[in-house]
Amino acid sequence: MLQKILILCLCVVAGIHHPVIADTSKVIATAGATTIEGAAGGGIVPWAVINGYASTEQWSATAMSTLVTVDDFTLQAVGASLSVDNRFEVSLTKQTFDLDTMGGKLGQDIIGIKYKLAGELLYTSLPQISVGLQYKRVDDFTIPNAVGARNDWGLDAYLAASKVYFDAIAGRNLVTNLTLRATKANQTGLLGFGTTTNNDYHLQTEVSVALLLTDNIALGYEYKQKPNQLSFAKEDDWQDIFMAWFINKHLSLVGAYANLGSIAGFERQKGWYLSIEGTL
Amino acid sequence: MLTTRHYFSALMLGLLLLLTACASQPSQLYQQLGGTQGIAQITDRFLVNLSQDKRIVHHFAQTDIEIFRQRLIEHLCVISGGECQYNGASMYDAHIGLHINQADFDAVVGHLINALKQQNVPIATRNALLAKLAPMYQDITYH
Ligand code: HEM
Ligand code: HEM
Repeated sequence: MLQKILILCLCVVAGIHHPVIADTSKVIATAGATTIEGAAGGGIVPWAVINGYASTEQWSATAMSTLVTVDDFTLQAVGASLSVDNRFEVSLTKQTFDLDTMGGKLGQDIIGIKYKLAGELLYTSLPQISVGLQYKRVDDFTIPNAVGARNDWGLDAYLAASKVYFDAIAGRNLVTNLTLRATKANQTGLLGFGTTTNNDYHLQTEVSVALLLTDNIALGYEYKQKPNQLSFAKEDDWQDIFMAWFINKHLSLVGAYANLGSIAGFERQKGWYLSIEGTL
Repeated sequence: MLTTRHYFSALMLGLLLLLTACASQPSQLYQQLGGTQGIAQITDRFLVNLSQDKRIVHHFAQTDIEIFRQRLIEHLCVISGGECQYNGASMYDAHIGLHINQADFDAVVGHLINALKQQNVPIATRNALLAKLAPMYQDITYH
């Protein structure tokens, strides 16, 4: 049901001829893309930027749909977000993770909020710094429980710093981002939170860099450190190379080649990532 | 880790293949903008864009556009390294009491980028100019 509503939102938002277009001012590409967890950022790393093109005294809404297909699994994420004042963002995301080879599926819902604490991405020497929270809840705890997860819900907290360096490499602008995340999640939460023997938070580092080849095409790299706590199978860090095309301020596409490492005993999970986003 | 190195070299190779232009020398920026004539044309396009923007045009209701135009030309000339004299106020003093917020600033930056594009200024030159203008944010907004 949630999925249907979100897809409907996407259609509405992507429909550029929709009568209520929000009056927004932010410069193109400065909203970033949307991660599979719903926060504005790259594909897997949340950035300090706020989703959408709303500047101060404005609002903006986004909707996204993302597909990641690796050797033995398929991840689908659909989500929507609302932002105000280029200060605050709230997002709702539904993830479905198909176990193509094993059979069955996992899934989780994510409610995210992000608040800009200091700095301005483009205009201050201090990077833009934001704090975010993600409440995650798995759809069905049977499999996570069976492999040793403790909880069917978890709360991630992160602090992100993002900065654009103008004219940085060959005259192109460079976006850099560093995120510190406290999490208990196994495979970002798809396999539940904590383990039967351990319920501690883990501090993880995530980085992304992107070069704006043109005003609206970015080429980037992301690295996401992840805990490795379930004994039944190894969990690896994630990384990807992405190309984002901000077609206009209402529509963007992101394609990536992702390496998700080992998942549930299946080694070397690599494949494609494709995301479409509409912004109002 | 092999994969990390693989990704990184692929990224770097991509950059080298895709980018041939190079960062501009600051003293050349003025030339790349087309000298005084180019800057005057950029300024005029910028003013046309500005005048059509309902969101911010109210800020300029009391402005003598001819003087403002001349100051903008001088200002762009000086910051791009041209041999001009800027006869206006400092960015802080020029915008005092105007209550310019981030949305106004974003909109002005957008119009400037569009004016530069309409004038066919290459991306590296545009970015070099933005690098000089963006830090003025703190002097211009919220006072
Ligand atoms: C792909 C190769 C290159 C890259 C990525 C690069 C990058 C940069 C960067 C980031 C800056 C600082 C720009 C700024 O402060 O606005 C710069 C400045 C400069 N570059 Fe390059 N550069 C490259 C090749 C070259 C070459 C081949 C030359 C000379 C033939 C050159 C000459 C200069 C000069 C003269 C400056 C200005 C230094 C100053 O006065 O501050 N660069 N470059
Ligand atoms: C990088 C951004 C900006 C630059 C480089 C810039 C530059 C200038 C310059 C050179 C002047 C003339 C000062 C003088 O005559 O002494 C000026 C005046 C002014 N600027 Fe800006 N400005 C910027 C952003 C803005 C923004 C965002 C707004 C509001 C939307 C704004 C509104 C004004 C107004 C209303 C005046 C006064 C005109 C008058 O009545 O004399 N400026 N600006």
